[in-house]
Amino acid sequence: MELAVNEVDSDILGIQLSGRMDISGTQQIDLKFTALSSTRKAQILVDLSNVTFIASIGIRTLINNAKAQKQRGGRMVLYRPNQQVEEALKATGIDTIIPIAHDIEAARGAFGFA
Amino acid sequence: MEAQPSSQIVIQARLEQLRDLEHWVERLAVQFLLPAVLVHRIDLCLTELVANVISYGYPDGRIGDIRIRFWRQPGQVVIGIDDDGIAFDPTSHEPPGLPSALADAPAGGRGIRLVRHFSDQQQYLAAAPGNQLRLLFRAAEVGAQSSAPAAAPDAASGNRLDR
Repeated sequence: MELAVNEVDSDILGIQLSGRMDISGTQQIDLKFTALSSTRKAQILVDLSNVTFIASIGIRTLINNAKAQKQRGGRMVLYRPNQQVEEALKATGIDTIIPIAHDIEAARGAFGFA
Repeated sequence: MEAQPSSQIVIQARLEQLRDLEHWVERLAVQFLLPAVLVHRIDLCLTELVANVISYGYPDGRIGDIRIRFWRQPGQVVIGIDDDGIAFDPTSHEPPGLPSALADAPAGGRGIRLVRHFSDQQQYLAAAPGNQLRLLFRAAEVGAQSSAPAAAPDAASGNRLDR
């Protein structure tokens, strides 16, 4: 897997994940993802549009860091998962505890920005 | 009597071998012209279940063998996972409930939930030693070109769990 960072705007930090979020893929990005997404308070937009596959271990990484970010007072929003990845997120109830947005307006709304 | 598998792979119970399994599924997709949605369902269920066997099936440190098979029946495809690890019946294992709040979300326990969502039926039979699991996936367009005789998997008398 690969991870890239982009500033969506001054309020939101974008983290773009690419590849297959299985055991080996998740291990490749886990430390960097944790450092970026949950070690300081921020509004984190995790772009999943280039994630082709997500297994339970990948979901676990998203949950753990969303939870840690929330404890710091920030928030994580998942952005543009493909249909299969979104189905896996919904099957495990993740969509009810971490917002999923498909456009930037919806993402800003999920962060509580007008 | 079980249908002859259309394809099979035997891997060692090591996490590095999951890459070989992934490539085997990619070859199945090409060889049997499987639709992409079905390939994803098979890929995800195998990833979860085989990783589980590798991670927990051999607490004594032994490197066991896991045999994964694919065959077609009218209207469905079947994936068989046979291992020689300790007994574990995923069809009788209740995953944790869905979380109502992020703070309450457990770290793990989602693999079996994914398998139950993405496969249509799971059948388990304890072996001696080991486990035999059959996953059924409804797939009308694949079953229409079935080359294997219709036969109930030998796990049919074991535990069944419909989707």
